[in-house]
Amino acid sequence: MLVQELLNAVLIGGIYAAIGIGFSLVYGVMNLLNLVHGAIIMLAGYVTYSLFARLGLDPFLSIPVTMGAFFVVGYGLQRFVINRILTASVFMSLILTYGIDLVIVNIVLLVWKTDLLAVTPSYAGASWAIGGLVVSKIRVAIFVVSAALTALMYVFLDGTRTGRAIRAAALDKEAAELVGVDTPGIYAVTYGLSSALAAAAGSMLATIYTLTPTLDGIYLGKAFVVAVLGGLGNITGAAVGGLVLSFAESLGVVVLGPSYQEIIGFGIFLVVLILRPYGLVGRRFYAEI
Amino acid sequence: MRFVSVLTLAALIGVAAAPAIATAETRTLTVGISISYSGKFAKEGELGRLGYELFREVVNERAGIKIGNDRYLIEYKYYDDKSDQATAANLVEKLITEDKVKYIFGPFSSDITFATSAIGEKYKVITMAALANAEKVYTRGLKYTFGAFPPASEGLSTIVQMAADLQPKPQTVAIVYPDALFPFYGAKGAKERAEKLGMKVVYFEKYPPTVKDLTPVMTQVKQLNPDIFLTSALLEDAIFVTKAYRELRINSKLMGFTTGPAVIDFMSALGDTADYTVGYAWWSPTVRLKDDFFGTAQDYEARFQQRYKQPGNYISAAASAAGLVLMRAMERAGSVDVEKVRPVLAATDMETFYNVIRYDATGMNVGGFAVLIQDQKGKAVTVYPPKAAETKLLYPMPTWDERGRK
Amino acid sequence: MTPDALLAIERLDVAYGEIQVLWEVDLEIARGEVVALLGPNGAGKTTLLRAVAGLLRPRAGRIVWDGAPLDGVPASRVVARGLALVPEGRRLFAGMTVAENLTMGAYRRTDGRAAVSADLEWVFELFPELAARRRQQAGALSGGEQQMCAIGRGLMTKPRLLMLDELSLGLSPVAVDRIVAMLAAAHRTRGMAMLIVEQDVRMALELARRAYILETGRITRGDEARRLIDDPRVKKAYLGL
Ligand SMILES: Nc1ncnc2c1ncn2[C@@H]1O[C@H](COP(=O)(O)OP(=O)(O)OP(=O)(O)O)[C@@H](O)[C@H]1O
Ligand SMILES: [Mg+2]
Repeated sequence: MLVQELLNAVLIGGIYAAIGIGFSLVYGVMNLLNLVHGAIIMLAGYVTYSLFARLGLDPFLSIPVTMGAFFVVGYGLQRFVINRILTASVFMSLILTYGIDLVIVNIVLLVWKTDLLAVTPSYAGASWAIGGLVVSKIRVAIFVVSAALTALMYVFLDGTRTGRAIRAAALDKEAAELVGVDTPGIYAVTYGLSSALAAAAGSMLATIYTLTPTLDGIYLGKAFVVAVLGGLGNITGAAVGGLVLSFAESLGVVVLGPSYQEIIGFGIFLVVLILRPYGLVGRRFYAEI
Repeated sequence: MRFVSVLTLAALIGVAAAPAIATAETRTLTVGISISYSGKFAKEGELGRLGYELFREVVNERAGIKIGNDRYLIEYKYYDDKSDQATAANLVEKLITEDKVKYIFGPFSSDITFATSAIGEKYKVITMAALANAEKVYTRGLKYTFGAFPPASEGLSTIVQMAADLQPKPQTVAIVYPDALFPFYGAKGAKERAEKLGMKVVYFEKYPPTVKDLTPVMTQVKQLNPDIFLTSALLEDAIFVTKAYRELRINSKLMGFTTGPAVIDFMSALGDTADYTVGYAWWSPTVRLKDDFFGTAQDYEARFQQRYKQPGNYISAAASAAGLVLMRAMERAGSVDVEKVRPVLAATDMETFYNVIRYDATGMNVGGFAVLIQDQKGKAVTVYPPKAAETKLLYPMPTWDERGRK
Repeated sequence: MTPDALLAIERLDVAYGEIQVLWEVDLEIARGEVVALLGPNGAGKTTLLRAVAGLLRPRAGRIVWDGAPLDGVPASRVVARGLALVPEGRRLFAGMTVAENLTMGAYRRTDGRAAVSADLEWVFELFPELAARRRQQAGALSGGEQQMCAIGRGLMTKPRLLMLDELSLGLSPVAVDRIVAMLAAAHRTRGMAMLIVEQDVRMALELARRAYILETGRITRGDEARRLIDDPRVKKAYLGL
């Protein structure tokens, strides 16, 4: 059964990584604690629900739709709203992003009410039985898509002109401007990408979680823990952070019992925050200014 | 002398008769209702009001409550408590001190009733706490507060009770619940009942209420493979639990919930995964219960549907039944005087279309029973008690392998 | 103002909020000319370069680049017009490799991949140390190599004016000599103008044809380099003689 627990942990870790990567990216590039992140995941879930319930669109096929739509929304949000206050105090940016979060929550309440909604394609809940183990099909699919998106993101940042510009802006905004990087534009692209990743996570999570208008806070909390564990701003770190968190949660249940599911993860989070504020993976050369 | 006597007699009779004729006029009894029109209990508050209204309509169309020689029409004074405890307490104080009501019909939720019943108690005004059943409301030694819902812990216990008579008899029970007071009472009640009935509780665990992924907990349940698996939680968790139950291919013989199987959202969220799950309701139109005011449960349902163009529900039913219980107590006491009605009301032991109502010393309705509901092929049907059952319980649940083959 | 000046700065005032740092600064650079900007610490040299590069917005005055105004153009577009700043402290992208840093220099170039990779090879020829470490993280280079990388990144923008802020800072005399020799070589092959801000005045005056002296935010002198070297006052104040 321990193997079963470990398997579950790996699969959940993939989901946590998907939640955390976009959040970490935005922080790494523009030093913004994006409190909207959880709300975007939630809203994408509701959109996925409507596409499924109204048009019969499979939740996994709706991923490109929500990613595209939320890239545009995120791009616009950063370009026309958040960029304006980015140079003001951290406090201002927290207030602004919190405000946007509230707006999204209210949109959700208005459009979808407080009913519990779920996206249930025919394969929801189905699993493979391999030996004594059971593997949920949908969770494997989510893990695979999350891993693929993480890898794509990595390749994009590493190997494309825009990707390098994003990294340059993250490492040294002024130096990036001095070689011609339009940082406001790059910030908008970054926020758009982060929103697209959040949307993908939201679309997929809608198939395993139930949609409620309070999900934003829960997702945001997970994103924050995952990002800090991996090292804020570190993409690969976020993937590691996701796995660490899910292993900690499973371990908590196995060793101490279900009421301790979150305690171990939170404990590790605090220890990391205190002893290794740059995360488990760290951000070598990142913060040298 | 004789003449005088006759006159005197006539006068005496006249004097005595006059007021009797005068009181044959109908009076009104004003009942105060502070309940949620807005806030998180807006929906439940509305259902409660529908139940109270239906009671009033039936009373008044039958020319009121007959008490002694008098007839009393019922009139309500409503306020919106905004789903807020403090607001509710203030409004009840206002109903008593300004509107001078002597009877209060209670709000929705145990928490709000907890506050308002204390005010009623202070002014010695009777509260029909129709929509509150947490033990904490009643265990404070209140004298003027009377419920209608059966005790909260009774629901899940009834599932255990039913299971005791099943063949093959289930031996082991696993119970999970979020770390909160209300789910804990349900879980604890079921655990005690299971132990009393000679079953073994192999797992009794709480999980943090904020947890969204219950897979780790459910993996432990799978390991123990209990005959009965119970979850004492709200709807959202019930859905998670059921999803994980399927994903992990857990095979219990019976799966029960406090909230879920009886709720439409549960079935639409889970599709055929919801099949075979068991939940309970405090009332169903199928129960074979009746009284001589509303008639049978089906009669009530028919009237409710005709009046409100929607199916009946346990909240409205409880509200209507609470009105009926109070009315009968007044009739038996022959008075609307609170101090005369109270002891008669406390001694209530009657069947209504809604449930049996019998009060313990605290004013909690301990006469009632829960109706068990099972999801069968996408429909919620009543399976227990025999008095209410539409059809037979499907037991044991088929395994996932068996379900996969179909 | 000379009509064919590459860069002409006229009566420039720059302030940080309420604190004014530059007053009525006039400065000119001709095409291909190497000019030094000297002055004590805190005089405002860096401030002037940053204003020209578009990182700061002047309060008053004009910056004319190649006949067109440069006021209010953001830094990211200034560089596209052929004006590069190698900033004080090098400001490399520490988490990127040497090759990536150099490639970032060509971010705004539109003259094609071939031209860019030719320039990259040229920079590697100029600084063979960098060629050997092209896949190494820039943050792991020595101080001298970092400065070479920063200059290389500046050169990769294909500038018509390269502004260098304190390139000798924190480097050994040997390293400074090497870098200066390579800069001179780059200047010979590419012929770009240079504006050199230096503490090492002797070195700056050897490279430059003309020099300006900036003191507490005002230009106090502008003259031929060799005349300044011979000036007793300059000798005393800046050459420690
Ligand atoms: N961001 C800033 N905000 C406020 N004042 C500043 C800022 N940057 C520089 N200053 C002030 O402006 C003046 C000029 O600074 P600047 O860095 O331009 O001088 P510098 O000539 O480059 O000096 P150094 O030789 O030490 O590099 C100094 O008094 C400095 O304190
Ligand atoms: Mg300086």
